[in-house]
Amino acid sequence: MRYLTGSLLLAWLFTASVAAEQTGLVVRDAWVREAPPGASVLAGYLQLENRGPETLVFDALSSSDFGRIELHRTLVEEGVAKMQPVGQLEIAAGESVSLEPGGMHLMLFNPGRPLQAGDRVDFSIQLANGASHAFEATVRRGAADEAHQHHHHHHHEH
Amino acid sequence: MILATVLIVVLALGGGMMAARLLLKPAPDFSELSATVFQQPRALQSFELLDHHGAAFTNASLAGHWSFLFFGYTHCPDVCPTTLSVLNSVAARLTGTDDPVRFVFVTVDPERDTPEVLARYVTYFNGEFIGVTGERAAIDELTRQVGVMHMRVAGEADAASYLVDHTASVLLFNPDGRFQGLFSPPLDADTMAAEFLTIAGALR
Repeated sequence: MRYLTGSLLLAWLFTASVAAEQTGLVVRDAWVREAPPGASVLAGYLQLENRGPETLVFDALSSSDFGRIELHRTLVEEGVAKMQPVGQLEIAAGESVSLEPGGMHLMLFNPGRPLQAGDRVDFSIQLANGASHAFEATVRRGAADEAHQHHHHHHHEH
Repeated sequence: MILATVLIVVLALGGGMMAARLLLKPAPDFSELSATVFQQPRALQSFELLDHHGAAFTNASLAGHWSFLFFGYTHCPDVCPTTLSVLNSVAARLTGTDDPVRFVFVTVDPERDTPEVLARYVTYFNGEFIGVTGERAAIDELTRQVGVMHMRVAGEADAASYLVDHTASVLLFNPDGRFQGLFSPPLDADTMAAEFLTIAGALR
């Protein structure tokens, strides 16, 4: 078990470093929110880090599971939630960007198959320098305050 | 006879003290809360909408229990599922407490959100949640009364994939069906549940 965990960790480190060598880009914690039945748009979230020496410019995102992907940001202005398309995402060398509920997120249009918690989805990021970066996301039944729930779990059992 | 007099005096004193307590009872202070609570809850003009079973949803549907209302639309990828998940957590935290509560999702996109669409959508988050739709004019009138904004924004791809900017706050209605206050984003289930109990307890 320990050996398995160790080798998984090694494998992860290896993939991360290979990816970083190729594009400088590291993708972590990628997930797609399981959608209610019949939803035509889903949301995806992930952490991006640029470990390379140069600014990375995102050209496009694609997945065989979705008809179209757009990058949007939720802005709450005077209590009104607005969806703002993010024209071009750039990550400077050494910088990280977080796509998370209530903030920047992937808009995933027209799912090609019903996606349920536990399913995996392949994505590809095309960079302006011609390189591309593949990553996998897990479908999760996401609660916005999942982190809080875990934190306070103990508390609620008392 | 003496006993009766004493009784009357005691009752009168007691009654007087109770009346004084009621009269002198300070208005509850909610200024420490992150929620906005109105000193004067606002009555709604009569409205007639449809719930996700196709039954009438009117002012009477808000009476007899507290209600959390959230306005959104089912094609909303980020804010609405996030908020409904938070409300599901609030519902879990309020299970078994003294004040009965209901959770209502009112669509601001009735053209796409029929009762059937809403039924599948809201019950995904919680089987007790109520989805509400109706005539465009009735939705607009209700949202106008409670100050909920909503504005259609053209999608990038085609006319049918439009988005709707909308108020992200959760509105709280008291058991008289009056608009009592609101929770503004960022929403946190623990805070909302705790503050709701404070509000409901003070106004009981």
